[in-house]
Amino acid sequence: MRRLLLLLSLLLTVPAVADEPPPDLHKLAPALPTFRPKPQAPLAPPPADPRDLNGTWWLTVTNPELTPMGSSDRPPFTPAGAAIFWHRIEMNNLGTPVPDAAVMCRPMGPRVLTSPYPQEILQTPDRIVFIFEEHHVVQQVYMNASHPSDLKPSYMGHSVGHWEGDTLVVDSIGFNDRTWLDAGGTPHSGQLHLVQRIRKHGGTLEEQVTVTDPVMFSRPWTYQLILEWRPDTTIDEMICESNMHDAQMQMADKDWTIDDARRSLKK
Amino acid sequence: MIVKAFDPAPERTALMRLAIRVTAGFFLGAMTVTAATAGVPDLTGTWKPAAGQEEIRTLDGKPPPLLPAALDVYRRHLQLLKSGDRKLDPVSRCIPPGVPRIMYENRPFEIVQRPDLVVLLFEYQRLVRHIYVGGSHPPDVAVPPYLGHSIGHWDGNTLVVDTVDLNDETFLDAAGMPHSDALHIVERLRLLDGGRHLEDVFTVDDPKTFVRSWQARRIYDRKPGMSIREDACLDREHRATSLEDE
Repeated sequence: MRRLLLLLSLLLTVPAVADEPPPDLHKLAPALPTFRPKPQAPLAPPPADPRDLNGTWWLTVTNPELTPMGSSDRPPFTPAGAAIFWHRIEMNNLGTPVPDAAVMCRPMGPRVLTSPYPQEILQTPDRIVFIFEEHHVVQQVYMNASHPSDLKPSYMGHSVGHWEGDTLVVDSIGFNDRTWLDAGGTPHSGQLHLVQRIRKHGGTLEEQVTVTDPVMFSRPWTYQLILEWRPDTTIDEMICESNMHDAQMQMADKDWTIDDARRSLKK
Repeated sequence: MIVKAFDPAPERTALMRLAIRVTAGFFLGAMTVTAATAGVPDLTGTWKPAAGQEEIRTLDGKPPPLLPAALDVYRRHLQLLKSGDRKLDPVSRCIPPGVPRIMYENRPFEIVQRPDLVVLLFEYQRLVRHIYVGGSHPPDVAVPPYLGHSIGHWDGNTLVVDTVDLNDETFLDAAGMPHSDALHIVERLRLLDGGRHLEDVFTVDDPKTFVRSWQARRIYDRKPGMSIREDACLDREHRATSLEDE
């Protein structure tokens, strides 16, 4: 049902032809509510302990193009970051979108935080595991640990966490540069450093994500996510790979690397 | 996504709903305490088989008792796979291996255990099996998942896992052992040797493929301190077009 709604919404967003003025292609993509089914019965309340995040949570609103918290400005791109971002937007507007790792059925990297599908939190004393329905992405958070010194870059990086009062603070580094921060194409490099600050207020999970990446952004910036408690939902099996075919696998060469961005800036 | 009805009678008053919720909460709490005090073993940890296993065998080391038609299919698969035609194998297209084959992969998996839920996190393709302890199977499933739907209960020190709703796109093993969508797997998981090993005894029931139900067994070693690594099957299987090679 959820997928049907999503499909329907995609069909409905196909622009109508005729006399409407052409859309401003550089305008910020609007935030969209995620397609959560209405609970069919009153929901059991979440655990009262603010440090118990166990259960299924669902993002309420997803931003295809992330903006700093409380603002509708673009993130503070460096010139190279802006060049890569606008290349991706232009390619999309031309009808030849650049496929990111998510489209290529790889782990989605930090973009998964903005996924419109549900996620599940599993907590043990020394570990918090986030299981995302989309692309069976798993984020393992090692509590009160430190990042290993010999970190090999990966799609999801390496995450360590600790509690500050009732706020879970998750610190992640070690990302590769093949993923995006959002569906629109906000870029990051291998120097990305993410800090998630997650706090439970009853049935709401408030998450603030601070992005530090000197290659793509001139200063750190923070975006906010709001998730909803959904004990009536379990994580479905979603296997992107089963729909993948050879043609799709040949699409990976349209994106700009940091070198492409720098070359374009020299012109 | 499975929507569970918490209170199916909408005409009930808010007060009654609250009473039900409090009662349910009490019983859930009681269940948690029972599970803890009953000394249910803790399967939490990282586990890895001593070796992978290409061909699934019954407890007495024999090939499973295939029906004649299924035997023909299996022989054809064996021949093609042994001639090097890996395209036949669904996992070469990064389709999940299914159950029980996922339990035969030579890679570690982690178990996270809660009173109501046991989760197996596989390194292999980042796949996840949810075992809903005390849960029930959904009445109908639109698309059967590759890893099926699993419920569990504790029988003394053994976690009994019942898996149904498996689709027929997978093989039972790496040699091409077929199965149908009537596949029903019952696993008995228990700790051995003071928790140093984990045993999984499978009962495989598929009347469209096998003459009778049969059993197989796997042993996993506890790997303290081992964490599962990130695995992207497509990067592994399609190196020529992999993002790794950009």
